[in-house]
Amino acid sequence: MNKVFVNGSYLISSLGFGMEENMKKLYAGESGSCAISDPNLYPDTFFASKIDVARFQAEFKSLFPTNKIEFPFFEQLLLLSIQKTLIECKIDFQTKDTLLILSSTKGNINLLDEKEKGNWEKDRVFLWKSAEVIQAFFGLANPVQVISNACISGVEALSIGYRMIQSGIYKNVIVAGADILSEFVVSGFQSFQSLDAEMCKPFDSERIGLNLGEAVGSCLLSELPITSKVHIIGSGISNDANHISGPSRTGDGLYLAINSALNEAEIPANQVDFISAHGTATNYNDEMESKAFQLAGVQNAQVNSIKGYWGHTLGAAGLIESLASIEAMKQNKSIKTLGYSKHGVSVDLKITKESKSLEINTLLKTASGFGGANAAILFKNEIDDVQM
Amino acid sequence: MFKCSQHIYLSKNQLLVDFQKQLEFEKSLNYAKVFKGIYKDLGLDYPKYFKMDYLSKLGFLSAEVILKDQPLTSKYASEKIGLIIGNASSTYLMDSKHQSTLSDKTSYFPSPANFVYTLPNIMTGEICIRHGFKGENALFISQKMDIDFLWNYAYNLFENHKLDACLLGYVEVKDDDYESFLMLLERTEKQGFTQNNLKNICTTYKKETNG
Repeated sequence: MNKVFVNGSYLISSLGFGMEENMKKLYAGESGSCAISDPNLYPDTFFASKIDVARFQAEFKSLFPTNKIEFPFFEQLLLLSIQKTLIECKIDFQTKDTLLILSSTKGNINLLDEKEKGNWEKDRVFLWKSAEVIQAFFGLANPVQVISNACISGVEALSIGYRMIQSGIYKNVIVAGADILSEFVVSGFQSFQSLDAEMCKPFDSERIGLNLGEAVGSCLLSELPITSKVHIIGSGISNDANHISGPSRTGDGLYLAINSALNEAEIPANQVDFISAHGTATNYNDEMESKAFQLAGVQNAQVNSIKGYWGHTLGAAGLIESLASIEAMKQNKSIKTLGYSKHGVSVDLKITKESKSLEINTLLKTASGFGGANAAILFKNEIDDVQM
Repeated sequence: MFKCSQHIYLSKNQLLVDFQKQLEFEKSLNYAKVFKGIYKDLGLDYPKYFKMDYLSKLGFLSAEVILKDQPLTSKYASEKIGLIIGNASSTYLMDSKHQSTLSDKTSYFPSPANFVYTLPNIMTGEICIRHGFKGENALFISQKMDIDFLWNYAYNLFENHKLDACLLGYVEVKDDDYESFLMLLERTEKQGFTQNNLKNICTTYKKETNG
């Protein structure tokens, strides 16, 4: 089987642009979430993470100076991020052996809004249309695949890319994921009463809910270690088969996904050094995750949640949190769980309280979401036996 | 690697099972009535069905047609049974409904019961709940069913022993049109079911229902 390396990571979040700026703020414990009063997003003030749009537009213009075509914000994010990944990896991406996988829950959903729909064609609200536009922009040889599996989309996109390279069908898979803040999404989560009016508190005894966020991220999965020696060693997707909007009480669904990934990687559970959890800070999610970690036998690993820094970025979440955690693994550092102070889940997990030096060789990323979906993926940092 | 045990096609008010016409409804009936007719014909008593959006209803009914006589969990471990489904318009109907509750700020009542159905993978989740599937799940968005990609992905999951059985297909509802194509794949030792077999089945169904 081919190894599948994670190259050319790039991401934009409320914390900033690119890996370096994001990592600096993650290590410093700085959050990009704040109270937002914007009647276009919600009638009342709410707490969330927004990308600096003015800075983004300037960045977009400088990266694509000759481009005359306009794109909705969601697509702009993807174009810029993918371009950054391609620039870093310098591959011939217009060939038949390169695939692009997008992960998103709602894409251009803001275009359904009368105020925002502008002159865009009616089809533009569909993810297949965004995929078509992005394929044409980069001149890609293969149809762009879109995975839309709620909050596990980002991890699942990595898993699918990994499998497609493993099976030898593609040499390179660009994985990109994005979701933006919209009234559609904010009002929906508000109606579910799952938002915290202040900073979210993952795994904490006082946690009451999540903060939403917007972000984009991308990387290039490749059978070659182009910019990184970190590679994927296993992945698994599962379903709770229990409830469409609440996670399993026992954690058995997520456990199956983690177990599937561990079996594929052929490593014992205690070899996992670090877990980047989904950690949304909702009551049920964090409790369910803690139980799943125990069932899978990975409860002795260090665990964090990054949601306190840039919110829950839905279809981007699993991807950008993987990319940041991989970066931290490469630098042998841990990112502390912002918002966590008093342990609030029934299993005694080692939740990171400070960012510090930590040797990490095997990293587990998990995600769970609506529809009962769960995902787990394992990354390994190969120090010695790969020639760059 | 795998065989196709059964396939169904539901479109233009006709339900076909292994190419045989099973049910037919008047052309003038809208899909709400057609789905209701299929639900009745299957003799179902499943209260959750009535909360579902039309995409979930269509996926649910299609799966029901295939699985009513063969509970898969008695043959395979639940974590080895999955779903690989394509769709174009995601949950467009429910998206529009949710959006319409936001236009008037004086009566602003977004509903959680609607919002949860604004994710296309709720459809696959509903099928998992009904039939106890706990394995790999994927919901791909493409304007037309990407047969090659879905087949390749299924092949990989069987090859890696992630799956022993799965439903593979394409379920789509938009404005006044709908289409569902679903097949049951099961592990076999023999060479089994190829990409071309899948292509031929799809082409045949399209021809039969358009002709």
